[in-house]
Amino acid sequence: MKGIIFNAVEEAVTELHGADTWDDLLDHAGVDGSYTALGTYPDSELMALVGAATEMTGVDTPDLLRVLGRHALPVLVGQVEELVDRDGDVFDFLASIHDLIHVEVKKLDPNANPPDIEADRLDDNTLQLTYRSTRGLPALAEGLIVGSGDMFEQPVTVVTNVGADDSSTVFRVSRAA
Amino acid sequence: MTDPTVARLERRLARERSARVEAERIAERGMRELYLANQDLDLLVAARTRDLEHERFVAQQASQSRSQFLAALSRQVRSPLNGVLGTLELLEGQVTNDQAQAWVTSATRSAEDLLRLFSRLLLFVQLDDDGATDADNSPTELDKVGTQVRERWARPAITHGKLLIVDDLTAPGTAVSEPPGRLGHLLDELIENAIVHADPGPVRVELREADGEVTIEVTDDGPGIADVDQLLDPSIDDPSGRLQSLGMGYPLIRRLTDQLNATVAIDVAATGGTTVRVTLAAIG
Ligand code: HEM
Repeated sequence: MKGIIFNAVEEAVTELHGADTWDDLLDHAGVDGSYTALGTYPDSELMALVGAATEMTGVDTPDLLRVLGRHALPVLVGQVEELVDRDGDVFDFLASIHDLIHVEVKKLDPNANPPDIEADRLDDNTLQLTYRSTRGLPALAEGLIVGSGDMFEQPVTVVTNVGADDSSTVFRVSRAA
Repeated sequence: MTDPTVARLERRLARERSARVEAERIAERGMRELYLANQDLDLLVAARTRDLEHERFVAQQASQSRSQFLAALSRQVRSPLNGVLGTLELLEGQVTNDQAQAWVTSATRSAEDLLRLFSRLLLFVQLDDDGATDADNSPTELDKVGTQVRERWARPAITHGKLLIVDDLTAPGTAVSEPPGRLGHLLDELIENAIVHADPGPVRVELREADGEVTIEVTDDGPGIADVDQLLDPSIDDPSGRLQSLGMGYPLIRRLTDQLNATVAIDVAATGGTTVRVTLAAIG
């Protein structure tokens, strides 16, 4: 996984619980914790960090990933500032992840393997996103979607449906009333 | 015992430091890969450039030898043709019989046409070789143009039973930057064409200057070109016959116009008669 994801997680944890918590997490997970956005690190380190957090807090892993995703989004956006219209529409942003932003991510690093986030506009107030990945981190995706609503100040609610074959997850995203 | 806060800070510092070192290492590797890729690209570009230069050289050689062949051909044909013309002139003095006289005249015309054709071919080939005909790139004074046209074309016009009128309306000292050689060739083509087509004459050559532009008009009363646009496309057939009659002259006019900084326009009057107008920028 790209270092930027680790950076985003670190930032989220530090923001929510302070730098000391991040130190403790690293210790608990047994990872050395020096991550640069340019680097790539084993997925297992991310899972170890999330596992350690679950152990330390008692919050289950999907919930943790949702929280992390929600707070990590601004860090990711900061990496591709020029591709994001902060005054635009949150649905436009979410619909551009697959064809624009994750594409750009792959251009910068051909080894990066971001997930498929297919977008379908059901109506003006409903966007359907289908997540497909070998990593199985739908909760992270859900957090990132909610975080997008926060960032655009256009709050959204997400209804999650695990796909029939387990390899995909469908999110129905609505504008919060 | 160390203060635990200090220990934490030291560990964070160590993490940051090693992250920075790693980032630098990755960036350096990236730059090195870029550098190597650029070097490969440079080599590739150099090789492609060499190939292209070689291809261009070969093509140039081929075109040059074709030009040389055509130039030699037209020069060499002209000597025997001049011989034929000389002999016909001698013969003309000898024959008394009207019928034979007509044959000699016809043979002379044909030989002259052929001679003209080969002169044009030579000129065309030379123009193709980067306009090599004009070693002289000096500007042309218009009063010289007027005089030259009179000297060169008054007699041939009379031979064709036509009157040539040259009107130079420009102020003394007016000049254009185009060299005299190429401009002269262009006018020769236009005037000769007018003389052949004037019906029954006269042919008028008018030089004028206005608003920093010099126009040279060659007007005859012969049938015009049915559709002026056709002149721009040599592949179109030409019901009026005017275009076709230009023969080799047509591509020559186009080539000369391209090489001179000139525009050529053709007016066909409703009452019959054709004006070819060459426009150039005046200097001085
Ligand atoms: C500007 C915004 C974004 C940027 C720059 C970005 C960039 C990235 C990068 C670099 C990765 C790591 C890929 C790898 O290491 O192979 C990644 C993974 C991921 N991205 Fe995005 N992303 C953005 C927005 C989003 C959004 C809005 C979503 C949710 C809809 C999303 C969903 C995910 C998920 C779930 C992963 C984890 C990997 C996986 O599940 O396969 N991303 N993204």
